[in-house]
Amino acid sequence: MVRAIKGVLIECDTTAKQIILALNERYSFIIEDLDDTHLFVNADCVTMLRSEIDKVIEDNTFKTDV
Amino acid sequence: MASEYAAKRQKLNSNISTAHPTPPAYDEEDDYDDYALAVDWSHMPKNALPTHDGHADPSLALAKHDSVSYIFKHQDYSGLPLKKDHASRPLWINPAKNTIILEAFSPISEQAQDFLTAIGEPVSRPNHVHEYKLTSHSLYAAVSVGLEMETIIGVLDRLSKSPVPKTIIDFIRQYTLSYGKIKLVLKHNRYFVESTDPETLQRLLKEPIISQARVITNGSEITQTKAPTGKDLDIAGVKKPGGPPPSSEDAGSKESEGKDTSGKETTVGDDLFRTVVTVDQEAEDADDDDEDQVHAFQILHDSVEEVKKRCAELDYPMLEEYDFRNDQLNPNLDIDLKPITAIRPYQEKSLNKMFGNGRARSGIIVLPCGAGKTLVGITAACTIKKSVLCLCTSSVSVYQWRQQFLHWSNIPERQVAVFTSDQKERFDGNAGIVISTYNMVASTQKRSYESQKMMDFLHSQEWGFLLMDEVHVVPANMFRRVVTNIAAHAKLGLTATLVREDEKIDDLNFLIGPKLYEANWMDLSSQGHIATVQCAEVWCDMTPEFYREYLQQRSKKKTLLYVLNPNKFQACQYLINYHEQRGDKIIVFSDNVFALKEYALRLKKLYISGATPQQERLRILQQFQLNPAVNTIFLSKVGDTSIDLPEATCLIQVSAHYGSRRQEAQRLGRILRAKRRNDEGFNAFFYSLVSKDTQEMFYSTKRQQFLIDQGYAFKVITRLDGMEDDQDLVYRSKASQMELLQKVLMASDTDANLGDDLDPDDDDLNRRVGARLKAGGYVTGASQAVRRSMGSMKSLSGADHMAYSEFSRSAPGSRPGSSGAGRPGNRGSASANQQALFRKRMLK
Repeated sequence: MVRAIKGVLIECDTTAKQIILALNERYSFIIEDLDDTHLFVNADCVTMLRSEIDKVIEDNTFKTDV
Repeated sequence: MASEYAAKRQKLNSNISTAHPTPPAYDEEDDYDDYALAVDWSHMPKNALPTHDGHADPSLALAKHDSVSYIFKHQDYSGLPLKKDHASRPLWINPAKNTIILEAFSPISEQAQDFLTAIGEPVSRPNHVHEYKLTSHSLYAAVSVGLEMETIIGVLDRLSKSPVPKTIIDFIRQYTLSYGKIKLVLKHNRYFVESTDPETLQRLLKEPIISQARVITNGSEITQTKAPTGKDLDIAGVKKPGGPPPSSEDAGSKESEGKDTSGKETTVGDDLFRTVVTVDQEAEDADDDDEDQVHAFQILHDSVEEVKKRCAELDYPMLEEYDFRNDQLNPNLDIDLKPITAIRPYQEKSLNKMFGNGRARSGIIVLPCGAGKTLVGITAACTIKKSVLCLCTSSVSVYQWRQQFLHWSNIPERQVAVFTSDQKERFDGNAGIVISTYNMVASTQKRSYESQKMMDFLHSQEWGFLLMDEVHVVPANMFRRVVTNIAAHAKLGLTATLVREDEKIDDLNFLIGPKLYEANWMDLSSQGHIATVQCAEVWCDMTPEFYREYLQQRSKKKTLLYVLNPNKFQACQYLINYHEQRGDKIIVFSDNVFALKEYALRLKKLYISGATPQQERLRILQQFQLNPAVNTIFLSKVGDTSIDLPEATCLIQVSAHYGSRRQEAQRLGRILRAKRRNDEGFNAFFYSLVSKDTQEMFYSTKRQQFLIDQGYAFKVITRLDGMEDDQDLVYRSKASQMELLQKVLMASDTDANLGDDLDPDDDDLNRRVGARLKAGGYVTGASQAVRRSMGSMKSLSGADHMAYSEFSRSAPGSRPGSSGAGRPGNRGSASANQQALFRKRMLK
């Protein structure tokens, strides 16, 4: 019996991949770790991924309060 | 696209205007066009502009609602009416925030800048657009240099694109009217509040704070004296405009007692007293000086600051000026600048602000590192010619100041005394100069017999001039002790960076005085007084392995990981190679000592950290200066301020103290005084290496803010050309990278600390390191008294990475809120009595 999972190919830089890998330890959504910059992940968690990565990046950004 | 947008906006405008009729003829769209084309606009049908009589109310100028209004919300000032010839006027005034935006590209911007620095404080000064802020302090300063309210408003109105808003006029009026009514005078080592108007004094005495501070002598409420200064002051004032010889002779004869004013001095003096501002207003100190009667009451030493604060709140700011020319009580000091000494124009300008009306005003002068702050201080001392107490941060700078005094002025060596922990001397004669450190003077520890005697001497003297170097670093409570204990007529603070991360800068306003002058860094560098610097921020990718660990580690290790990122390592090496080939001398800064050693050893360069002995430091610095084979040195925090290396032309920053703007500016200062700065086309380079996607990015941007406000632009470099192909770089192989990673992971937490690389004595004014060392058992014994120091919640909770200093403070016997100084006592012995083993555990 063939089981099909809908997946999304993610291309990212190496650091973003590390963030995703760290997240994966909590949620486990990676289907296949392809290489340094490519990942194949479960399609359902793409929105979650986006917001989580945004959060990490945002933390490292300085904003002046005008 | 643009036209489409414009049309849309137009439509919106018309829609709105049917709803409620806005001021008729004013229309932004057209104005914008006018401005762009800069043609003659006389034919434009816009004469219905409210003829500007200077008092337009901002509430009348309703902002129009258009498609972008939601972005600006209540800060939409598009409704302010523009004057017809607004294109040739350089100022925009924000009615709500008291800020003024100057178009620095305008042809008259230079005059406008002079005027604005006189009445406001510069906030940000990049190349083309400057921002200034009107504050009560800046307005007081403006009035005291002789600008009058009407003039200020008049000139503002002349320069502004729209009529000066009413709120601004009110603001200016409020702070200029009451100024100068009361004075704080130091006489015979006692403080008096003086006024010509007894009612004002009565009103002040109704305030509980002030009346408590009063010293009641002989039962009489308010003493009356003859105004002692009336006539002579006028002379000082008259002398100002052109410095006509007769008046200076007058002044000379007045103070002629036993000393003659040399010709050179008068020329220097004349320069000093020339007005800064374009508006040639004569200082009319008349209103209070003409009257004979002066009323005064005495106040306590300790409460001077409180009273000052309270008076400022009541809109009666105290005038603190020292009429040094007419001070017959304190002996004169025979000091003059040497004839070879030339003062640069901006130094003269800053001194003008200080001596604007012939009297010495207390305040702070802000000049970039390497722009000759010392000379400003010395010139001020030479102008006042009374006993000087000069305070600096470390004993190294004590000797530097001493040397500078001897170098620039004709003061004999025996009249410059040094007061440090190793050397305690007094000057000869009854007037002289004492140079010391804040720590020595503010210390509350039990002193040795000698230094106690010296302190008694310092306290008993009435000082003409208190000169304070690097005022921004000194904790407020330490300052308070200095300022309240030492009776000084005039105070001058010098600094390069008037910023503090704990926002305690405002305290300085009460403790010393307002900011008198702040130099424009960009102007100085274009005039060649300081080097032109290219600033760059180099983004280095984290290697996957390092970033993986970075995501998992606790915060302290994170620091080490992003500092020792192999890509950063390579970028650093690459930049060093590149600049060494160009013939630059390079300083690499790393706050983190572990990383410093790692870098220096790996790249085979010399390094200096806090642990390096003095002898070796000197040797290394000498090598760097003279040996053509040594072009790069690595420095830890110790190099931030005290090391002076005019050879250095390139600076690479590997790790830094979090988001400290001050440190960034101080470090930049290391290359501002580059010897080669006047070579054709010379540029100094400032690189800040940052690991991408880490906290460092945040800190790095924050650090830059101060320099950006001074007009520096940071270029972001994401890729260094040719770095990939360079086979000689370190950590090319995965294996070596992993090795480095292992090393980092093995490193202990203490290695990740940033702040503990200073000697307890130097620069470490909060005694953070000292406290830590003590707690760690390196220094024991009950003789070490405990210090109390104030700190923000953040620093107390260890967020400043001084987690261990908490230990000594929470030891038994400490009582939060106990007044003022630390209490020498049994606390030190309490910690000394503990078992060595136990002590160690409490540390963790």
